[in-house]
Amino acid sequence: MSNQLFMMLHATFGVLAMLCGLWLFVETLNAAASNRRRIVAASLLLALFMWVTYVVGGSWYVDYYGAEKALIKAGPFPSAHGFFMETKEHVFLLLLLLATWLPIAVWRSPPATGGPARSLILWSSGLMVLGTLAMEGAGALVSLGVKMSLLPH
Amino acid sequence: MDRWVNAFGISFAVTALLSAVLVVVKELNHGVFTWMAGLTGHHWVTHGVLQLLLFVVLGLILLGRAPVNKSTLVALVPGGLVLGSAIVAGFFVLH
Repeated sequence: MSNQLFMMLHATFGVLAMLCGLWLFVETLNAAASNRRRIVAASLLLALFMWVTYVVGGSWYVDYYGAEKALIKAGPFPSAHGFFMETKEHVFLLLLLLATWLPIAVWRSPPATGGPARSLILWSSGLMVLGTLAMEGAGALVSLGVKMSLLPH
Repeated sequence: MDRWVNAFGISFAVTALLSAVLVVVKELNHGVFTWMAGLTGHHWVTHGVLQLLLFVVLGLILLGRAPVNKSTLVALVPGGLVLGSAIVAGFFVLH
């Protein structure tokens, strides 16, 4: 049961992080002195949700993934592990660092000042959205790999 | 651009590239993989710890340095993520 619970929490907090990335992107598009607090809040929540996603997903990965990995590798869709999981687990670490840096960036160089500060936050938050979406997609394909291995074939 | 944003932005870009290189090295070198697995019990946990340490230490070192050009930082941070991810994904496509 805790296996499935960890997995659901991991995916849920990942989606919340993605939504905060999108929120940060939209607020930055309309950056002004009046929405500075919302920009800071979005960046802090993004970082928080990414760290929770990391801790929950990492615990699941270390404690439970070994058995599922063996199933996937023996099944009809081995690249669910060989490409999707391997790429996901390492690219996620890069996204985690970017999410950790973003609150520093929005606090110390408010995007409302325009120019490079705004571009930097827009690019970074936009890539966070795409990256976290890719992580969710890769997670779904890993689950599909397990399911395909368990189905009669 | 603020010196903290500069320092940790450059640190992120460097760490992202080195982390991607470490993925390639540990996957190709069984000794490195085993050493990393032995440090914390799992290679991925060690990878995360090393990456976080590098990000923080390099960022703190760079705090005292001269800032980079503002436009350069706009290219460095997203570029670091894209290039690091491309190295990782490209490696696992070929591996």
